[in-house]
This record gives sequence, C-alpha cells and structure tokens, in this order.
Amino acid sequence: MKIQHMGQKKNHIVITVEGRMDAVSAPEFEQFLNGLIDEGVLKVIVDFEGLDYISSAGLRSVLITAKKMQSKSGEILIVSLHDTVKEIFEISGFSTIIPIHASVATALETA
Amino acid sequence: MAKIGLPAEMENLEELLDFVDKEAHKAGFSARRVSEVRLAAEEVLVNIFCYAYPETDGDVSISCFVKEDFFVLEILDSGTPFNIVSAPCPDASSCLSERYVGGLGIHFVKEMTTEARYVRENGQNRLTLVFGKCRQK
Repeated sequence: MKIQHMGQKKNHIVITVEGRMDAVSAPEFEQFLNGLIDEGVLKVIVDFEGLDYISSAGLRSVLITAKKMQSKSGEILIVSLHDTVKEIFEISGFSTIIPIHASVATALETA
Repeated sequence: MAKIGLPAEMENLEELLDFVDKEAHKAGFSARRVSEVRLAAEEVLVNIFCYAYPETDGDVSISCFVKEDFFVLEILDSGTPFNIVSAPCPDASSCLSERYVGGLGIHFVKEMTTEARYVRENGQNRLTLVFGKCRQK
C-alpha cells in the first residue's frame, strides 16, 4: 500500500491510496490520517482510485478515522472507488454511512 | 493439491494470501474473483491469528484444490474451537456509531463463498470454503 499527500483543493486535503488495504497495511492508513488530524486538518478527501483491495480491517480503519474527524466537526470524503472495492463498501453497508463520490471534482462540488 | 503451513502470526498474512491468490489464479479465476477469494481467506486468517491461540503459539495450514468448476480452500488450525459458519453477522442497517465492525469479516466470508463448511475433528478446526467462478448475489 502506498499513501501520498496530494496537497490542498479548496478546503480539503487530498490523499491517494494505492495497492491493498488489509490487516497488515490498514494501521499505516490510520497513522497517516492521525498525523493529519494532529496537524489540525479536519477535511480530507481520500482518493481510492489506485486501491485494488480492501478487507474488514481496512474498512475499520476508514471508519475509525471518519468518526475521529466527525467528532471534531470535520469530514472524510471517499472518492473514485473501482468495482471490486465498491462492491465491498456496498456489501458492508458503509456506502450508506460514509459519503462516496465519483471523483475529487464531484466531491468538491457538493462539499 | 497445493499446501502451505505457517505459524499463525500476522507477519505471515501476506505470504499465506499470496499463495491463495496464485492458486486461485492458476484455477482460471478472473482477477476480480481472485480478489474475493483473497478477501474471504484474509478474514478467516485474521480471525485465527487474533483468537485461535490466546495463550500459546500455533500453526495454520491452507490446502487448495480444484473440484469440478469449484476452487476449494481448506483452512486448519489446532486452536480454540470456533465455527465461523454459525457466527452471527452484524446488522448492516445499524448507524455509524452502533456498527459492530468486528462481525463484518464473517459477513464477507459468507458473501464471497459459494459454500462454507466447518467441522471440529481431531482437536482441529477444519473450515472448507468453496468458490464458484462467480460470486452468487
């Protein structure tokens, strides 16, 4: 898994995640987002276009960080899920509780 | 039949899953279906790593074979008896704060497999996961 900070778009920090988010790599995602929260970042767009795979451990990390940001009146927007990962979000029911957008551009329109 | 056996530790997750990936791919499964097989295997393995051996070290083994049009995984451990097939799933309609994420892995195993069977025999948990070429929704 590879995480990159892509800079700021409007009020949101954009990060990209590539590869697989599983039980081994998910803590890395959490640490990265915790680092942003510690810097005072409260609005994040997570671009999953390069994400090939996510397991329940990955979803748990997304959920934990989303809740942490919401408790500080911030938000996480998830964008660009491809089919395999989208299916996992749908089966889990997460797609109804965490905002998912088609692209960074459409996320910013509604944000 | 291909087989791998390793200590039931998180550091071995990638090696075990890469083995499953390779065998499912060899069985002629699509990239998407291989990913679903990997997901079911990860959820089972992580559960074994976390709960099967609370006070000791132990091993896990995975055997893969093809039977007719199906790809079959047999996962064995000698730890605490646990029947993942009969374990409860989370309520998918509960809200963000109430969600019981811990049960999601079990839900994924049931969703991704065509059939899942569990037996406890000779002091071992034997879980058989059967995958058709496509996921049945």
